[in-house]
Amino acid sequence: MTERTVDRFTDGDWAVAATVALAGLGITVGSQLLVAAATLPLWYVAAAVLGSDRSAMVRVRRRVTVHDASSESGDADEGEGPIPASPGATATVRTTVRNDGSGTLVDLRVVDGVPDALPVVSGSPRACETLEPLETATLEYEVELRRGEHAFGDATVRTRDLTGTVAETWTAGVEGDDAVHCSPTVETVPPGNGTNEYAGEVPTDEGGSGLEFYAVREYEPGDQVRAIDWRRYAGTRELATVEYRAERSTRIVCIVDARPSQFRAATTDRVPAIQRSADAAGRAFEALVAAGHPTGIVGIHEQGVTSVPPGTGPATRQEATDLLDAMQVPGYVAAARSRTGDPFAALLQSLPGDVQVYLFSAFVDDDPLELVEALRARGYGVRVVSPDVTADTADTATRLAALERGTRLARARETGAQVLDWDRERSLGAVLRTVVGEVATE
Amino acid sequence: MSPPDDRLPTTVTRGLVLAALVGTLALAVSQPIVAAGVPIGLGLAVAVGAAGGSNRRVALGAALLPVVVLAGVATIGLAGTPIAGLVAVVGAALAAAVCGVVCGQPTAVALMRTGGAALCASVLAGGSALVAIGIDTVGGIQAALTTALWLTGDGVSGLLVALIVAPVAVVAALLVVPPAAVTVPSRYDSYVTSRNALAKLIGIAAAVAIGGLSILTVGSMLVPTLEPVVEAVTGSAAVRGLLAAVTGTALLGVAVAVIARSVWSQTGGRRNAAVAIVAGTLPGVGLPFAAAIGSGGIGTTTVATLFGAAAAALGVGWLAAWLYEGVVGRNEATNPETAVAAALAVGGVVSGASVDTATLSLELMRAGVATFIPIAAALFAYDVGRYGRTLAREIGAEASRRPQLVRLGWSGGVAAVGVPVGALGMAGATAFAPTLSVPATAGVIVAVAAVVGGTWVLVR
Repeated sequence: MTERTVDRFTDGDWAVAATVALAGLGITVGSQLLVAAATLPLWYVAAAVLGSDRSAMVRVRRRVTVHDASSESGDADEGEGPIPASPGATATVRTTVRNDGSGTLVDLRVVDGVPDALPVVSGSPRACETLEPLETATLEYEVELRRGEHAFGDATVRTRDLTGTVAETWTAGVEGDDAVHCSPTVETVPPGNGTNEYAGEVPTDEGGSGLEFYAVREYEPGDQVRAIDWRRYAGTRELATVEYRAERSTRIVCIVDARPSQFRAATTDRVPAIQRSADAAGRAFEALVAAGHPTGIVGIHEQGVTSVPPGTGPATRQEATDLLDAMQVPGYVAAARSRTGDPFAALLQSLPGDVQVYLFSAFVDDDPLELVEALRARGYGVRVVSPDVTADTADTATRLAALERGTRLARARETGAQVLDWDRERSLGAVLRTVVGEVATE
Repeated sequence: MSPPDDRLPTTVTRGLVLAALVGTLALAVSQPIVAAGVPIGLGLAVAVGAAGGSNRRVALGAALLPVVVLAGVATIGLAGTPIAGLVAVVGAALAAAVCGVVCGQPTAVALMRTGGAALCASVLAGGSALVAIGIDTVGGIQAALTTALWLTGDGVSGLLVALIVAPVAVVAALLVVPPAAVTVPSRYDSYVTSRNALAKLIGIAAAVAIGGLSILTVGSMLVPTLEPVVEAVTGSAAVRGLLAAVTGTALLGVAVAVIARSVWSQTGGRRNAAVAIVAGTLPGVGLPFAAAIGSGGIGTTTVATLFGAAAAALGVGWLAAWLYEGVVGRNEATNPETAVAAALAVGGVVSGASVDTATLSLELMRAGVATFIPIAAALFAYDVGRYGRTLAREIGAEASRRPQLVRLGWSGGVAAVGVPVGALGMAGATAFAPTLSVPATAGVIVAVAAVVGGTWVLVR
């Protein structure tokens, strides 16, 4: 708890000025009523005199409850170290303030110490209450959890007396939960089924060598002896060959739409599409690389593309992180400028033929849709994660843009791409789980 | 502790509205015309608020603005005395400020559009005033209509001129109207084909009419029996009226289309509301003018004066909106709660200053109510408004009700204590001396101030 600061506001100045003005006007125009009315502001001067600075005593306690689908329980032992949680989940924070003094606090203002990195998604960490002795008030709000360890700060408390002329401010220590630890949960997610000719871990829709039963077909000369279904031969005297689901390696390219149109958010207080796309791409990249799949990053800029070739090494990770960070800066100019000035044409020319594509774009114009159509026409497996920057606004133009965006996403689905419309309310972890889950069950 | 929040907490807002209501009612005891100013202020607030919305709302706001200003000018004109007119203005300002408290400050965009609508309406109102003067000069509506019908001249030559002017105006309107106003880019080619075909058809029809009239005229020189037919056609008011109506409508269309073309070519955004403003102000000024002229109950001189004054007021409004837009853009605008307090205080001061002598009478009581209560309400509004602004800045507009009610009760109590004390002191002094001198009253003020100062020194 810090030292208390007591501020006494000179609240009577304006009333004295009003008195002088009214009296002066009354004397000037010869109006007794106005001169008599000049006594009215003096009562406010008199009331300001009654202001007193009695020290208030409050007790603040915080309880954090994590709402995470992957967590077995949202509750943890109170105050015993950071609360574990998954990034993208939400946590409900209940901060209780109790008046431990003997007098009534007519105007108690409390601001909880929310970590800067955690956005408040509902409720408010601020409150103004009137508390009788031993009465309590609760601030309840929800924060969206981000990766890392986040410590809650002390609460800032300010009390004002009845006249509003004396304010006492201090930071009060908070009992109970004081930190949240968020670790990513997407490292173990499997990739999709776009594969190359090399053996790997991704199940495919073709028979071959593997572990999972796929089909039984007629024996063909040259089939391995160990693949013959000897049980059937014993029963029917016909040779048949057992096939297992082939497992192949896959390479993945995460394409992030970083054109100027992506530097747009639903409102000024929300993060723009590029930030959400880059965040999602970064986490998908980490998960896929950790699973051993060579993964690359491609950034689409206004007149060219920047790319990190698929790989799994530390250098690839560093380059991918640097690129994702750089493309979030407005005005970032891609080092490579395509000859035609068309980034999509340049991308299609340079994209390897055996990769899966994850496209991260807000779909606020037709270009991403045309890219999806072109990729699907060339046989690429495409998954789209589209942050919605047109939701929750009453503006007619934005609502029209939302309709157009919905039409584009529907058309993208018609091409066979798997599309995830990512609204702000949905956590990133859930989004990635959904995307990869859909891919795995294809 | 500083999350910015432009809105005041709800309970404080309701307290301010209540203070404004009480102050207005008190003013109405002495100056009932303040009630007439309230709907004008509400109308102005609605017009400004609508200007910040969609194009349809902008058009409605632009239509409402001149109607409200005309009503305001008429109200002030009919008030009789300058004091009454000033009180009506106070009522309008108070209502507009209360709307600002409830709905928030008008945005810079809304003010810019309101200024545009005021300028457009000012020009139209000025033109209407000139038309009214012209009607008065010609000798009435009938004479003015007759002059308009036969503007191109009498006889065959006049009809020929009218037959040339009308199709030219219609074709000009067809060509000047921006294609984007009536079609979409994918149908541009078919639109151009249809437009050109229609223009050609109008040209052929006009040529046929002119040719037919020429043949008929030449024929009438050779065949005397055709003369009555020619005279009937050339002297027909219906034919001239139709041509005049077509020409007038087409010229109006040309004017609107030219404005639309000029503003659309000057904007880089998609939310230019100039067309909506023009589309709104045209009926907003035109319909009241037509009603005033057509009713016959109002003299053309009065109509000219009314619309001339409205044009001046709208011009001042444009200037004020333009200046205020800059102030809002710099975040230096006066808070609406301060405007409420100022309007109430001005109302109280005007009411108090309007009483010449203070003798104990019913008139003095009414004047006292209309002076003390609005000023007390103004003090309450200022004090509570400052509290609400601080609360919104530190906590937000969703602050709980209880502490706000406590503060409203405290501030209301302080304001309420002063009114009966001041009124009783005034009545007592008046009873002892039939005419309380201003110096004596000032002495009372000094005495009270000395008591308050002494108390302050003792407490400190």
